[in-house]
Amino acid sequence: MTDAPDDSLVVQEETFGPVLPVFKVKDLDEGIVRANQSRYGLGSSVWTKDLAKARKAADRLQAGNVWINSLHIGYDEMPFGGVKYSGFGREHGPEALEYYLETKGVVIATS
Amino acid sequence: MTQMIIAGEWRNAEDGATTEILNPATGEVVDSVPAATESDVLRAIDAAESAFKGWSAIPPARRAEVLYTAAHKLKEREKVLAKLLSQEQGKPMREAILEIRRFIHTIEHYAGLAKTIRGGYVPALDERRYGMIIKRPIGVCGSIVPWNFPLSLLGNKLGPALVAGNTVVVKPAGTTPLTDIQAVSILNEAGLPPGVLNITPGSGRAVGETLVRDSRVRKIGFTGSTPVGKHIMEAAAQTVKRVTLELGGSDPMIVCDDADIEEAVSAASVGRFFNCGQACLAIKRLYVFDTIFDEFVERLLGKILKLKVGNGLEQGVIVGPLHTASQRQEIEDQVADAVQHGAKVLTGGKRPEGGEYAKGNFYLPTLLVNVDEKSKVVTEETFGPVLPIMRVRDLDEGIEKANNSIYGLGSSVWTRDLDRATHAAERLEAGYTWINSPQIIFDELPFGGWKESGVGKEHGSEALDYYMETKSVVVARPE
Repeated sequence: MTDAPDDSLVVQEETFGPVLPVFKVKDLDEGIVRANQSRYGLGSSVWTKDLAKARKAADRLQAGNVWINSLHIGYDEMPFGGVKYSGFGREHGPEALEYYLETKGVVIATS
Repeated sequence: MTQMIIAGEWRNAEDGATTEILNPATGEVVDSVPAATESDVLRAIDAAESAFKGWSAIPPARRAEVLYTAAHKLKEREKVLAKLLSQEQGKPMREAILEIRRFIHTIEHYAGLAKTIRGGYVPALDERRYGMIIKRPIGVCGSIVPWNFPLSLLGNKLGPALVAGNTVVVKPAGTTPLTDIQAVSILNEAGLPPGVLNITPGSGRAVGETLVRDSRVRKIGFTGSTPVGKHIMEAAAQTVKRVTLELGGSDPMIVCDDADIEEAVSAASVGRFFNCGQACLAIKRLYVFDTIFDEFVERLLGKILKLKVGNGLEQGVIVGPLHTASQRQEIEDQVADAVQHGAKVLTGGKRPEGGEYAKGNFYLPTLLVNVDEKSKVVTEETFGPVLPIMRVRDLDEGIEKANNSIYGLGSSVWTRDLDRATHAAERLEAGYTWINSPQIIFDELPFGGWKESGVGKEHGSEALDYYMETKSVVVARPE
């Protein structure tokens, strides 16, 4: 669908089915601002051949994961997890182990 | 009156309300501060939100320069700040100066970590696809600080938050806002852009609740009691906020039969009676091997009888007053409960008598033996100068009893045997274990509790991780 208003449910909520709203944006800045206008922050992606644009999107998209010119594929090599209302903690990557261990500081005094 | 700081400006509360700050040793008024309303806090969050974009874009090393400048200014004002801290909190001058220095060290520690912030790179996830793991600041952070170490515990939150590029709204404790306001003022003066660091003193209801519930605040760093920590965690869940919670503790100390008794006695005394026992990290349960029990207790008693109790500003005072009357009441209730369960009071167990003592919330350093494990001094956190001492047969019994607590903050063991020391370090359920050492916090090691003592770490290089988000970036290249 096109022309979905920003306050409609397909924009505000998570749509868990075969529905895709498509929006027109003037430039990358507007794209990022609108992409970030969500309580969610799980995945995101940007398609461009321009290095500066790719770098800006990777930095500024509020999401735990950004794909550049790529499908959203999860890799065991990379930590996966959301920001904002999409969650906390990470699975995958060596980072995931940290979330299943407690860290203890031990100080030993020697004579 | 000392005003609060929002967006780099000194301000009164919107409705003009103020709170008087009293000296716990004399009951005299030290100063007053604004009692921030909800709309004042919202204004501070607005300021922190607007400042985030600029501050997070500055390179970490340059953010650190501001902290170094602030550390320098703090050193110059060390004595004035220490006196103010002693007056509002009650702690002896000697301990107040240590706390100012600790704050400076912590600020410098995090400034030093600024250049170590780095991410990761995965060369080939797939053909023509590589990965980067980058770190980004979280956003607006709320820092909620208690009254026992108002300044050093503020540093543990400000340091990592600011270096990582976050902006902050501080809620100081209701009874100890003065030194914190001065510290925030010095950091602003050192060059923080307006709005990066704000401070709004006031009630938990007006200030704390607003910070915890506002969806723009993305992280809460809190040090305080376990019940309040649980409330914050629950409230933070409504907006899926990140939390670092440094909560209560009931640290066990185990003294084996091969320990250096002199050193262990001294560590038990300092570990329990520093800051009049009002510390999350303090020796709160002492387990001593049967065979050395009597000798150990006799030596400890000799030491405790020499501790001078009085006004923190007086020369030679080691133990100041409890911070508030209700704090003393809680200690009195816990001791009464222990006695009811059969405990014997070796010394203390009451308020000191005579002239000056009547003006403040004083309580004598107290040692208890024959303590029932079901009494409150064992099962609850005791936030005052009271130490229960229990007999154990061996290390296994000591560890088992030490672990029989909802808390898991600090712990210590005294032995000359390497295997015993290793066994204890591995098996004590706590975020920190000291071996043959007083419980001293080092910036170099991560600090944070297990079980109901908290979530997340402060200090170490680990603290920074709790003020940054990790982002995975996958880049595909053309064929």
